Amino acid sequence: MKLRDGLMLAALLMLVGCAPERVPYETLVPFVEDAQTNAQVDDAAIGSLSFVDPAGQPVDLAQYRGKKNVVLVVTRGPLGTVPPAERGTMLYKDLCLYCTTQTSGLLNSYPQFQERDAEVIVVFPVLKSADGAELATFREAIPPLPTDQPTLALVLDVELKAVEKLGIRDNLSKPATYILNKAGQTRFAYVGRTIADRPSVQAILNQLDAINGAGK
Amino acid sequence: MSRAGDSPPDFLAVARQLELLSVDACAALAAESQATGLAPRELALRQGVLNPTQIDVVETLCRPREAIPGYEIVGVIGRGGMGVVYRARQLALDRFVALKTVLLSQLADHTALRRFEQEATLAARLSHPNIVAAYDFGKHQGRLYFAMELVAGEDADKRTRRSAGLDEPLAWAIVRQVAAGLAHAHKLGVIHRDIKPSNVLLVEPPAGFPLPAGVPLVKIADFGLARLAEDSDRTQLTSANAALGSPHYMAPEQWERSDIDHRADIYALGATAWHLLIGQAPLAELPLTQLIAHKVRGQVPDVRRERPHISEVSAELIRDMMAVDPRRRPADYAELLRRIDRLGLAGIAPAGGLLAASAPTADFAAGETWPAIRRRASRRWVLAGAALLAGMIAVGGVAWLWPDSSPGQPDLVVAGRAGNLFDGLAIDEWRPQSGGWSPARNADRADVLQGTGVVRRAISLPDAEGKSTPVPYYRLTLFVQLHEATAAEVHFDLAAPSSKAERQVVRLTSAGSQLGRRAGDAGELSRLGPVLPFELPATAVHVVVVERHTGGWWVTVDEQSLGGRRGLFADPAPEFRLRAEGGPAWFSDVSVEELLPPAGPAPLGR
Repeated sequence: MKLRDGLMLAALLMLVGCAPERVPYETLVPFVEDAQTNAQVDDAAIGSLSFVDPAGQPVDLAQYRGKKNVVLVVTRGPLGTVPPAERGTMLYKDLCLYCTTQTSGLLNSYPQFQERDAEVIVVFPVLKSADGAELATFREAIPPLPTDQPTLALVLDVELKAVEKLGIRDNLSKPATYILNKAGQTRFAYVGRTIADRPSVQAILNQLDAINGAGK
Repeated sequence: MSRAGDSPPDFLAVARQLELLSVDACAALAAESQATGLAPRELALRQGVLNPTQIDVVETLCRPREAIPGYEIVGVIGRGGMGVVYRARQLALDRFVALKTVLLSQLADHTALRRFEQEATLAARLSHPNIVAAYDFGKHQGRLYFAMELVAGEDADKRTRRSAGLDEPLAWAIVRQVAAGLAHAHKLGVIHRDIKPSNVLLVEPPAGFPLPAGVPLVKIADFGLARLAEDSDRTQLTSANAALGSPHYMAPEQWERSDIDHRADIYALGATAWHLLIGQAPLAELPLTQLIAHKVRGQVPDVRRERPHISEVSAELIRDMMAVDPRRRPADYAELLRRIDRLGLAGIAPAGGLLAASAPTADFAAGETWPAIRRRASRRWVLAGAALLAGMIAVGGVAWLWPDSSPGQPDLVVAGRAGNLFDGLAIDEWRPQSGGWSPARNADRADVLQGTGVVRRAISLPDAEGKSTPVPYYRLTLFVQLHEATAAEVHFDLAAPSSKAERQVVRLTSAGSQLGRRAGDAGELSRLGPVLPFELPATAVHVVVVERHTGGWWVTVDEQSLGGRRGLFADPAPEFRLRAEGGPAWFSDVSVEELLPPAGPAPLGR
C-alpha cells in the first residue's frame, strides 16, 4: 500500500472508532450470566410473530404490546436434534416439555418474572407430520400445570414459521432469547452458539430490571 | 444492529492489504461509515463488495490471536469456495501449521457439522508419509478449523500447468504414491472423496528418502474435508462448476449418492492420472451439465487420442480406473499398485522403504513375495511406529492408534422412539448404586438430578402399544454440570447390568473430557485418548451425546467429537450409568432418541 493511501485510510479509520468486544467465552457461566445482545432483530418481524398454544389457539406477540414486557425463549425443539432430512416416523413417548433444564428454570423463577411485569413465552419449534399426529403428541406433552396460579406460556411454532422469520434455523432452531419491552421494541436478543449456550435466568431478570429502570 | 466501530479500526486497511478492496472503495466505505454510523464490515457486506468469507478473512487477520484458540494467524495461504487456509503458528508447540477454517454458516445443518467432526477424527488417525498430517480440529466462534502439517511445495495442478503434462514415469510415480496413501487411509476406513491434482502436493523429499531421482514426495491434502464441500450449501452449485468440489475428477456415482466407497477415490485418481499426463482435466472444456452426461455414459476421451505417444498399457489402466461401473475398476489398492508396477515404466516405484511404508500389507494378496529391501524397510517403519506408539501411550493417546478401536462409520439416523428419562421430579426409574441421588435445583433454579456415587438407568422407551422396551441403537443426550464434583462420568456399553461389569466411560473434569474404560462402577479407569479441553468454562453446562451405531459408539461433548469406539460387547446391557466423584454433580436434559437405518422405519431386531 502506498504511503498516501495509508495516510488516507488512517485518517478515515480514526473517525470510525472502536466497538465493545464480544462476550468472551470465559464469562459464559451456566447458563450465560452476563449475556449481552449478540443478534440483530427487526422489531416489525418479531412483533408480528404468532404461535399456537396447546389448545390450538393462536398466541400473537402483538397482544402484549402496551401491556407487558415479553421474554420470548425459543428452544432448540423437543429433543431438537432431529434433522428434517433424516426424519422417519417419530414416536414421541415420555416426552416432557417442562422437563428441560431451561424450561424448568424459567418455570421455577416465574414469580420473579411477574414481579418485573413480564410474560414468559417458551417456544418449541415443531415440524408437523402429514397427519398432524406429532402436533397432537406435543400438545399432550404440555398438560395444564397443577396450579391455579399464572405461569409461563409454552407454545408451538408449527412448521418453524417464527424460526425462519427470526433467521435462527438449525436442525430445528438455535436456542434464542429475546426480550421485548412494553412498547414492543426488542431490547435484548441472544442466539446461542451451542445447544447449551443460553442466557441464565438471572441474566434475563437483570435485563428486565434495566428495561424497567429505563422506562421509569 | 451493529454500529460504527463494531469492526476493529484496521478492518479497511487489512482489506486493502489483501487487495480485496480498492483504495477508492475503502475511502468510500469509511466515509459512509462515518456518515451513517454503520460499521465498514456491515456496509461492505450489505453492498456486496465483500462476501462473508472475505469479511471473515479480514476480521481474522485483524485479531490474529483471537480467531482460533492456541494459534496465531500470520498470513493467508489460499482461499477457496469452502474456506480459507492460513499460515499459522501453533503457540503451544511454537511450530507453523496450515490452518483451514470454514464458516459454520456455510454448512447446511448440524448433521454436516457432526459428520465433519466424525470424519476429521478419523482423518487425524492417519499417519503416512504420503498424507498431510492432521494435527487438530475444532470449532470456535462460528468457525470450523483444521490444523495440518505445513507443506512447502506446489500442487500437481500447478506443476502440470507449467509443463503441459508430465512424462509417463513421473506421472505414474506420483499416482503410485497417492494410491499408497489412499490404501493406508482405506485400511483405517477413510476415503478421501476429493482426489484431484490440486490436492496432490509435491514436495522435495528429505535427504535419503527412498524415491527415484527426480520424483517428488507426494502429500495428499484435505483428508476429512471433502465432506464439508458436500455438506455445504448446494445452491452454490452453478453451471460454471465453480463451487462444488471437483466435478471433473468425481466418480459418476458420487453425483447420485453419498454411500460411495474407495473405488470412487480410484476413479478420481484415474482422472488425476489423465490430468497429469495431458496437462488438464478430462472433459475440461465442457459445462457442468454436459460434463455429468458424458461421465455417466462413460464418454471420457482416451488419453492416447490427446497424446498418441502415451503407451497403451497406461491408457488401459486409466480406462479401467475410470470405468463407470465401480465393479470394473481395480478392486482395491493392492491390485492398483500391482498394475502400476507392471506398467513396465522405469523410475515409478520407490527404491526402498516408502513402498513398505505406503502399502498396508493387509490389503495385499496373501503369499505375495516382497523384495528383501522392502522387508527391511518395513521393519524400520515398524520400529518407528513402535516408538510413536510408545509416545502416544505416554500421553494417553493409544485409543487413536489402536486399529481394533475403530467403530466404522455411523450408519443410523434418528427415527423411531424418543423421550425424556428424567422429568425433574421423580427418580423412580433411576437405581442408585452408591452415594446419594435426588432431584434438586441448580444455581439457575432448573430441575436437575443431583448425585454423588453411581446411579443407573435403563435405556428403554414405550413402544406403540405403550409397553416399555429397550432401545438397541440410540442417541443418549445429557446436560452435565460438575457443580461440586471433581469428575462426572457417563458409563455406557456395559457387558452386563452389574456393578462389576466392564464398560466404556466419558469422563468430565475441570481439565476437559476424555474417553476411558472401567472394569466396574469403581474399577480402575483406563484412559483411552487425550483430554479434550472445554471451549466453555469447566463450570458451564456441558452437553454429552453418546450414540450407538451398528459398528460402535460415537461420543461428542459440547458438540465437539470426542471420538468413536468399537463396541466392547455384541449385546451390551440396555442401560447407562452416571458417576460423580468428590462431591455432587448435576445432570439434566436426559433424553434418548432411537437410531434406525435411514432407509426403513422398521426397528432393528435384537
